[in-house]
Amino acid sequence: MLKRTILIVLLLCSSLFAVEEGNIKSEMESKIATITQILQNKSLSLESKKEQIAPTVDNLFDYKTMAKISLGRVWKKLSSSQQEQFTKKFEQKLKNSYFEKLELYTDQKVVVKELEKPKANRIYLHSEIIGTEESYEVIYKFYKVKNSNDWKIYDVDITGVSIIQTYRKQFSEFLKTKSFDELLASL
Amino acid sequence: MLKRIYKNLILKYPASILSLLLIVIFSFGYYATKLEIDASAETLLLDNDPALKFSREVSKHFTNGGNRLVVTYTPKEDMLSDKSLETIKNLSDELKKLPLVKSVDSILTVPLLLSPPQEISEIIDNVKTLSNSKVDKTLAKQEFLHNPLYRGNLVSEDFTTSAILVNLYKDEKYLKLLNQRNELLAKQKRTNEEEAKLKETIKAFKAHRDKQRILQHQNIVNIRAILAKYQTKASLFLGGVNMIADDIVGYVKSDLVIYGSTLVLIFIVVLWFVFREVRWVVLPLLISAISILAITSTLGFFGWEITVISSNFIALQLIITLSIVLHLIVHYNEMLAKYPKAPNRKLIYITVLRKATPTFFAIITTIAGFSSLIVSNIKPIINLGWMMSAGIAISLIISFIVFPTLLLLLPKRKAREIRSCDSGRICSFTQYCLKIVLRDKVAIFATTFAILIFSLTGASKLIVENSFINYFKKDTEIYKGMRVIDKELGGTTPLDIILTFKDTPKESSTSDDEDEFEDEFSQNENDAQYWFTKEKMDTILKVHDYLESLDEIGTVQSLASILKIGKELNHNRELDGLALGLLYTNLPQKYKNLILSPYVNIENNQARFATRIVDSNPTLRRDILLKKIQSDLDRLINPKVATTKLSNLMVLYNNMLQSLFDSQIKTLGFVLVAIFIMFIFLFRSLYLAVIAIGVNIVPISLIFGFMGWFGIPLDIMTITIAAIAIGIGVDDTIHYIHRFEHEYEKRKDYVEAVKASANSIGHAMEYTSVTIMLGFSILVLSNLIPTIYFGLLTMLVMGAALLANIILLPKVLMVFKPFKK
Repeated sequence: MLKRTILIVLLLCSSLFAVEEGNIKSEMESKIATITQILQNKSLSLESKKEQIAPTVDNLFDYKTMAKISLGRVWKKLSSSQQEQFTKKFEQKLKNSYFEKLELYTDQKVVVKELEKPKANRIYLHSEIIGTEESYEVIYKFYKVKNSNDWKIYDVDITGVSIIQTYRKQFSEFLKTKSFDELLASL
Repeated sequence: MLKRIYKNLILKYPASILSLLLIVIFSFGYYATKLEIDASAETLLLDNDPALKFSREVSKHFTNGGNRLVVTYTPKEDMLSDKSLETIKNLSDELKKLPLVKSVDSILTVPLLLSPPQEISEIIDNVKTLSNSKVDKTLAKQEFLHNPLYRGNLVSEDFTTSAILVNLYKDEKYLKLLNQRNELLAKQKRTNEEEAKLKETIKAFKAHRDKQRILQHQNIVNIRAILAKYQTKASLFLGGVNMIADDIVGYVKSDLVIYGSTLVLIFIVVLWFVFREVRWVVLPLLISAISILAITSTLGFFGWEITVISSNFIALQLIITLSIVLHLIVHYNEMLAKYPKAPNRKLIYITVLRKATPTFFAIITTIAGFSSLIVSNIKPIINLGWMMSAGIAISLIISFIVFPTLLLLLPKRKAREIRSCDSGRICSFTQYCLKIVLRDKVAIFATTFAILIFSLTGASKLIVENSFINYFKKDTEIYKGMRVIDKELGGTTPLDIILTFKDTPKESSTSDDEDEFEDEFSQNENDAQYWFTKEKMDTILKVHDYLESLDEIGTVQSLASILKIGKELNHNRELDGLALGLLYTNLPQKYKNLILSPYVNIENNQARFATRIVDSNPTLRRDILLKKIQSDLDRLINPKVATTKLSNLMVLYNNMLQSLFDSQIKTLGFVLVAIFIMFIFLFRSLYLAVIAIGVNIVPISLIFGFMGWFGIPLDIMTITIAAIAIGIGVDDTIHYIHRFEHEYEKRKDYVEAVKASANSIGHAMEYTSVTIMLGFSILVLSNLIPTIYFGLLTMLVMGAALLANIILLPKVLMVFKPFKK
C-alpha cells in the first residue's frame, strides 16, 4: 500500500516538474499563451508580471544543467556546494536578464511552429515572434533527462544567438584572469 | 700619368676629344627625358620595416577610410539650414559622379541614432539619416555634438564646420602587384622563371602605378574644380593624407622648373659681374649643362626616379660643377696675367695639372660626405647619395676634359687688368679679410670660441620631428585645409592601435556522456555573435578612454564609441553580451560595414582604435608620444587578455625618421674620420690634417646650432644637410691649404704666404662661395618649407665655410706654423 502511494506521488511529482515528449508542443503553446496574456495585462506592474511568469517557466528550464554547460570544464573542478551556489546565482541572473528583455514586448504575437528532432535525445521547438516589421525566430532546445522520459530546456536560441553559449563565452574569458569566487561575486 | 694623358691626348687632339665626348653624351641624352618623379608614400618608408607589413595587414583586416579624401565644409549659413543641406547634397552628388569616387558620406548620410532616442530594436529596422527622413533639427544638432562618433570628427565642436568624406575605390591591382613584387624580391635564390616573372612584375607594377598617378592627380583636379563652383556658398578645402603626396609632387615639379630658369640667370649675372668676359660666362654654364645632361640621362637609363628628397640634387650638382670650373678659370687667369706671353697650351696645361689634385680631393671628400646617405635604410636617401656621388664624379671628368679642350680651340685672350688695390685701400672682400687676419690679436679666436658655444648649445636643442602640416607655407590651399582638419575635425596623421585578444586554447573533446553538451557547444563557440563578451568590451572601453585622455590625440574611434551610444539608447544600462550578440546578428550588412567593420575583426580576434594626431601641435614629440602610448597600454592591459600594437602613417614615418637620424649620427663620425685620413694623404702631414678638420668643425657645428636655436627640426629633408655641409664645406679648406703650401714653399714666410694666397686662391674661394650662395638663395622661392630650409642652411654653410677658411684658417696657420722650416 505504501509502495503504491509513493509511486503515485512520484508519478504526480514527475508530471509536475517536467514534460514528456508527446506533450512538448501543447505544453509550450499553453505556457506561451499564459505568459503573453500576463504580459499584455496592462494593469499589472512589471514586478507582479515577473512573479506570475516565474513559476510557469521554472519546471521547464533546467537551471542546473544550464549552469553546468555555461561553466564548461570548470564545473567538474568545483565542490558541490560551489556548484549549488553557482546554480542559484546563475538562475537569478538568467531570470533577471530574461525579464529585462521582456520589457521590450508590446503586443507581438507568438506562434509555436514545428518540432525538430536532430538527435534521439534532442528536440528543438521552433517558435516565432511576429513583430510589426519582421519576425524573430526563437528556438527552445530540449534534452532528454537521463533514465527518464522527461524533457527539459537547456538552451534558448534567439535569432541565431544562443543564450547559454553567450554566457559560456563570457565566463570562460572572465576566468582567464580572475578566480571563481570573483565570478560568483559578479553575478 | 695625368701629365701624359693631357700632353699626348687631350691637349694634342682637343677637337676630336671634345667632339667624341659631346657625341657620347648627346646620344645618351635621350634618356634624360625618361626621368620621372616619384612621391608616393611608399618611397619614403624604411624598406624592410616590419611596421609597414603590419600596416598593410591592418588595412586588409579592417575596412577603413584609408582611401579617402576629406572636404572641409564651412557654410555661410547655419550648418543645418535648408540652404546648407542642399549645398551638401548637390556637392555630394557631383562628387559621386567622378569615376574614382565610390561613395560620399556627410552629415546627410550618417545614421542618426539619438534623434530622437529610440529603442534599439526599432533602430535596427529603420535607421534614420538626415536625407531619408524628417528629423528634428535641434535633436540632430545635439546628436552631432554629442555622439562620440561625430563630435570633433565629422563636425567641429562649434558646429561651424563639417567634413564631407569622399571615399575612393581601393586599388586592388596595385596591392596585388606590390605583394607579388615583394614576395619575389624576398626570395634569396630565384629560378630563371622567377627572375623573369620578377622583371615582368616590376614593369607591370610601375606601369600601373604611373597610370594610377595620372588618374589620381586628375581626380584631385576634378574635385578641386567642383569645389571651386561652390566657394560662394561656403568655405571649402580639400584635405586628407593622400593629398599631401599629390601636392608635394606638384611643388617639386614647379620648383625644378623655377630652379632651371632662375638659377641659370643668376649665374649668368654673377659670372659676368665677376669676369666681364663672355667666354667665362658661357664656358662654366656649358660644362654644367653637359654634366647635368650626362647624369640625368644616366638616371633615366637606369630607371631611377627623383623623389621629393632628391629633387634638390640638380641644384647641388650644378653648384659643385660651377665651383670646379670657377677654380679652373681663376687659376687660368692668374697664370695668364703672370705669363702673358706663354703659349695658350702651356697655360692650360699648368692650370689643369695644378688644380687636378686639390679638385680631385675636394670631390672625393664630398663623395665621402654623401656616402653617409648611402648607409641609411631609406631608398630615396640612398639614391640621393649615389646620384650625387655619381653626378659630381661625372662633373669632374667632364670639366677636366671640356675646359682644356674648348679653351684650346678658342683664341687666346689678353689678360684682363686685375683691379689692383692700393695698399691701405680695401677694394675687395678678400682684401678686407686679409686685413683682419693680419691685424687681429685675439678677436678671431674669441669669435670662433663664441660661435662654438652657440653651436653646441643650439645643437643640444635639436629636435627630430616630422610634421606634415609644416611642410607647406601658411597661405597655401593644402596648409589651410590641413589646418582645419587638424584643429576642427580631429587631427591629421592617422595612428591606429590594434588590440589582439588572446585566443582561448581549444581543449580536446572526450567521449564522456556528460561532455555531449561540451561537444555541442564547443562547435560554434567561436561564431561571430558570441565575440562581444563583457571582458572584451571592458578592455576596449578601457583602451578607448585612455586614448581619449591624451591631449595630443584628436579623435578616437572604436567599438567603444558604438558601445557608448548603445548604452545611452539602452536607458543608460550597458549592453550585455546577449544584447550585443542580438544586435550583431540583426544589424543590416550596410551598417555593419559602417560601424563595425572598421573597428572589429572577429576572425582575427582584433579590435582597432582609429585615432588621429593633431599635427599642428608645436609641443608634439612624436617618438616620445608613441613610446609612451605603447608602454602605458602594456601596463593597462593584462597580457593574458590581449596585446596592443601601434600602426599606420604616424608609426611608419616616425620609424623612418628615427632610423635616418640614427644612421646619420653614426656615419657622421665615420665620415669625419674618412675625410681626416684623406687629408693626411693629401697634405702628407698629420698636423695639417688636424688643422684642416678643426677649422671645418666651426661651419658644420654652426649649422646644427642654428637649427637648434631657431627650432628647425631635423626631418627627412633637412637631415641630408649634414652630409652636404661636410662635403662642400671642406672644399675651400683643401684649395686654400694646397695653395698656401705652394706659396709658403716659395716664400718661406707665413705672412707673405697668407698675403699671396689671399690674392690668388682667396678670390677663387670668394667667387665660388658667393656664386653658390646666390644659387641656393633661389630655393627660398620654393613652396615647400623643407626646401626653403635646405636653401637657407646651405647658404649658411657656404658663408660660414668661406669665412672660416679665409679668416680662421690663415690665422691658425700663422699662429701654429705647421710647416717645417
